[in-house]
Amino acid sequence: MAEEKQITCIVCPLGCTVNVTAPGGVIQGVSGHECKRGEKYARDEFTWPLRVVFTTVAVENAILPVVPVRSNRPLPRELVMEAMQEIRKQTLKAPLEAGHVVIRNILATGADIVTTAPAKAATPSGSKLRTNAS
Amino acid sequence: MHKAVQAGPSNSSLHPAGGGGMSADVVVIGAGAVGTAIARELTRFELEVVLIDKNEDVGGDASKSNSAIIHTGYDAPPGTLESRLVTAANPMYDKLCEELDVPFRRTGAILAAVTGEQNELLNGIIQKAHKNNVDDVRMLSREQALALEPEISADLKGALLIPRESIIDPFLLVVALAENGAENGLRVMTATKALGIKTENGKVKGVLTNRGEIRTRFVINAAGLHGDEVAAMVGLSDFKVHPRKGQFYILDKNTPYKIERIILPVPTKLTKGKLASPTIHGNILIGPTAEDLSDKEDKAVTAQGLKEVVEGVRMLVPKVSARDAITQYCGLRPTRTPEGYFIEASGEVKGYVGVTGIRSTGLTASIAIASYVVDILDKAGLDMRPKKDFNPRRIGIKKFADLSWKERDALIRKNPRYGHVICRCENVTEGEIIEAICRPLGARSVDAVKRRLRAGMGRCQGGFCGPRVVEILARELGVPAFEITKRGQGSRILSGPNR
Amino acid sequence: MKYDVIVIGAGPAGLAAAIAARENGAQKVLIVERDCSLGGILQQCIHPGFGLKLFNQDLSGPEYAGRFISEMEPKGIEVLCDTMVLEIEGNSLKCANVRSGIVTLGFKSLVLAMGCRERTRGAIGIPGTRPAGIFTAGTAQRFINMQGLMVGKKIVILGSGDIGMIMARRLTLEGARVEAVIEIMPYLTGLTRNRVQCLDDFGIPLYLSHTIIDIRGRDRVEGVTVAPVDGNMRPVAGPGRDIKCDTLLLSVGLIPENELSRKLGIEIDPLTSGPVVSQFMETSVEAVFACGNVVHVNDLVDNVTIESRKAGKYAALSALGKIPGASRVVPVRPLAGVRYAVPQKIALDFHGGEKICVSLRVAKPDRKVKIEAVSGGCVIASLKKKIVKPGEMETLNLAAADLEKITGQVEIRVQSEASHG
Repeated sequence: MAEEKQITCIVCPLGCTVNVTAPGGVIQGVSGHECKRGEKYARDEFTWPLRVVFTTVAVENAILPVVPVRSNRPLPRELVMEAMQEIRKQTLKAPLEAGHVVIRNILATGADIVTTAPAKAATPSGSKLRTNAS
Repeated sequence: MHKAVQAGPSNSSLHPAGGGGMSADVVVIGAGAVGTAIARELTRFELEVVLIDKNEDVGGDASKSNSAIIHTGYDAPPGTLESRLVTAANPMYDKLCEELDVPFRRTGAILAAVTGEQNELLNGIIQKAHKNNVDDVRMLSREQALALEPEISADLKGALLIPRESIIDPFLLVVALAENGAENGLRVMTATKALGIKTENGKVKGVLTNRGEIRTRFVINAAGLHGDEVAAMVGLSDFKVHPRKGQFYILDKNTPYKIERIILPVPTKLTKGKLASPTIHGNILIGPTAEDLSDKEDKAVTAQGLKEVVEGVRMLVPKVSARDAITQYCGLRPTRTPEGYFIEASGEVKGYVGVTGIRSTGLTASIAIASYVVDILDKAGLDMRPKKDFNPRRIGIKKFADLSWKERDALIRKNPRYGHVICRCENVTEGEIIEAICRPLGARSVDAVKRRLRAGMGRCQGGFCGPRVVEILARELGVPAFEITKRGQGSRILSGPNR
Repeated sequence: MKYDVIVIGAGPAGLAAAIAARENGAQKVLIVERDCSLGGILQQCIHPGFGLKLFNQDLSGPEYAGRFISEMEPKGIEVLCDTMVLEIEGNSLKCANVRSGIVTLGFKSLVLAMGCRERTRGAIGIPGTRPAGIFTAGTAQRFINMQGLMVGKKIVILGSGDIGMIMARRLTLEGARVEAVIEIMPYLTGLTRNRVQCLDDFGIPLYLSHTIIDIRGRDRVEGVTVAPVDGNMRPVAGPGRDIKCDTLLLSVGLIPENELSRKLGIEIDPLTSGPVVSQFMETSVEAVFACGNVVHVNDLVDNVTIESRKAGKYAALSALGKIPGASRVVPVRPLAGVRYAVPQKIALDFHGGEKICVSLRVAKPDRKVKIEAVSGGCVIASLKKKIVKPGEMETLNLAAADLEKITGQVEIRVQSEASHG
């Protein structure tokens, strides 16, 4: 962990630049914020930055070839790329509801990857948007 | 529902003659307006004709990036071959476009003199027009001109009316000529570049291309910007071709100012000026610049050029603004040195016919050049027996947007794909796109679809229809979507699937 | 077939309007949508950030849309997908439907919710060649998020609006390299939150006060030339800097899509490029309402929902004959410092007793300002803001009591606290 970091707060449009000093890894000073929400945000972001992961997953037998997914909780920021790789390995099959769990407890973070939209099955009349080249 | 015939650059099957390899009576190099018109004209005869072009689609280069005007020839150099051919060609277009189902309209043009100096030149221009046998050019008073075209600058001093200057869809003209030619037996090979011309004892023997040799006794050089390179293939090097760039803007259909006619500038010693023209599809086109270049590949629009276009046009139509632009493009005029139309059978190389120096009026003159070349070939000894069943008519793709409500309804009920509007700016349906892909010489790229149907030419410039057109092309051609190109090899729209 | 209310567009605006119409007494409500599924642009906005204001939740676009889509059936709202409105004639729509051919649909009230389109390379006239690999950001988003296709490997993005920054992140997560985000203004035009989570997180450089002066590449983009701009946003003379790339994404503005509105002869506000509307979201044509990005480009979908509920409600009341005719109408005019304000007119005699939310954008970023509504020289409503930016829409509320103070046109202005009112 860095000893000092400048963090742009995103809680409100002011976008204060908050300075967090943490000699030896323990936060000693937080300055530059204009409200308590900003101070909390800066502390959290300094210690344990989290991000929601969202992407698409390939789905077979559906009208569209991909379905959007997200983590139902934010993940540690440094795990985002690895999580993306895990998600990319998945292939689903339509029909699917929104909220379908694609990966449970991804990378042992406690967060699940779930679909955010339904994936309707392609009808026999060939209303598929396209065929994937195999 | 017919499907595309084959996946491959050419849209016409190749018939190797006996002994392997291809052969033809005539090979035309260059599928721009001139080459295609010649090739189609030749299909009136019992001849095996092959038309080749290095691009992935017909349409040429200069032939599809110009001012889309069918000229009367009023301002051609009098007494020249160009003058003769252009004035002969203009009256042919009504019948031709009706036969070939090509959008064409005789809007007429107003030549607007906005300075005293320009006004002095008008009489001279009328006289020149008469010398060119363009007799219907007449003087207009300032009031008459402004009554016809209220958007012309109040600086107007005098004007000429040129009633038969017309507008056309230049690409559809070439596509229509190619399709009609193909219907009558023409073999079209796109993505086929002439690499050499074989001669023996001063006679043409064949054309070497990247797709093999085509044995032939007659070759027509209609290669436009590359005409000097093709001529060099038979050892002729008495001329050079360099590009003269012309930059254009296309303006939104909803401009608060409208023009019915082509508004032309009076050329002075200093400058040829810039024109404003309605396009056949309802936009306004402004331009062009005239920049001599050495690089035949330089197709960039420039800030300076575009600025020049707007400043120039505003002298005629002051309300024109770059803010109304929906796109810009540039065309490279094949400019020959020495200048002029040079259409002749070579004395040294028997069977080689050069068609060079065609520029600025080439689109117009193309169909007259075609008859002229047919005569040349006849005199050169090519056996030309008229075909009994030559069909001069071609039916274009029915435009959903132009149909009546009843016709639209019937069309959708017959084929639901016509109920699926893909290009919302121009109201082009999936049914039309499929037709554009599946008919002979069909579209294989996004630009090829665009040029045949206008899908992607509207104000959103393909932002909405682009992804859908890509999918339809992929499906109809049976290839993965990421292989679809903008305009042929090297121009893939996408980099790959990501799932 | 005659409906009480027809809504054109099943994006967030249309969905909210349709539900509100039903909830306010309209019996037969229909949404007409050209796509095969509902949700509009939200379908491809798979990132979170939606619903923070309205639902206190951080939802993705499809999840936000899902909340409204799930109410279609229970509320008895009819939906016609794969249907493009081609023409509006009097009180009926003529549409093309894949299954039924040309369909004529009658309405008592109409709600326009067609959204917006993206400004193109051609519209801003970037010099250079015209190779493959130039996309508007939303088109690229559709390719990636709905069609599973990648647009390129090395990307430059023009425009620091939200859609550009969001795509910077999306492309990076998909394995592309985003070389830079170029912004002509001296400030970020999108949300700071997006700069942090889309650019800073991935080390993507942002060049403010720069623009692209050339695009290179014959068949496919090979690179762009970037140059600094002066105070008038004109490129500074000089060769600029070349950035090698194979893709250029444009995030240079959204334009309300008012083709149909213009055909109807609806009065368009040149400041918004959208219809002039009253506080009921009614346009200059009686019984025709409009909401969402077709009226003015919003940043938060939550605000679109709030506004569209109004449009739906009053469209229903209009269909039921519950809105009386001519009313005293005063214009709302933005003064210098305010780029635009919606609604552009206020009907005084029947105002439903509700507060009027004036949505506005400032012309330039500022701190410590007062946004005021003034009529007849009196300040009738005021809002203090610590910070205002053109990229973040503000709302000034006029309470029912405030409306009684209106004596003529209403002017919206922004004043720095330092200046005297």
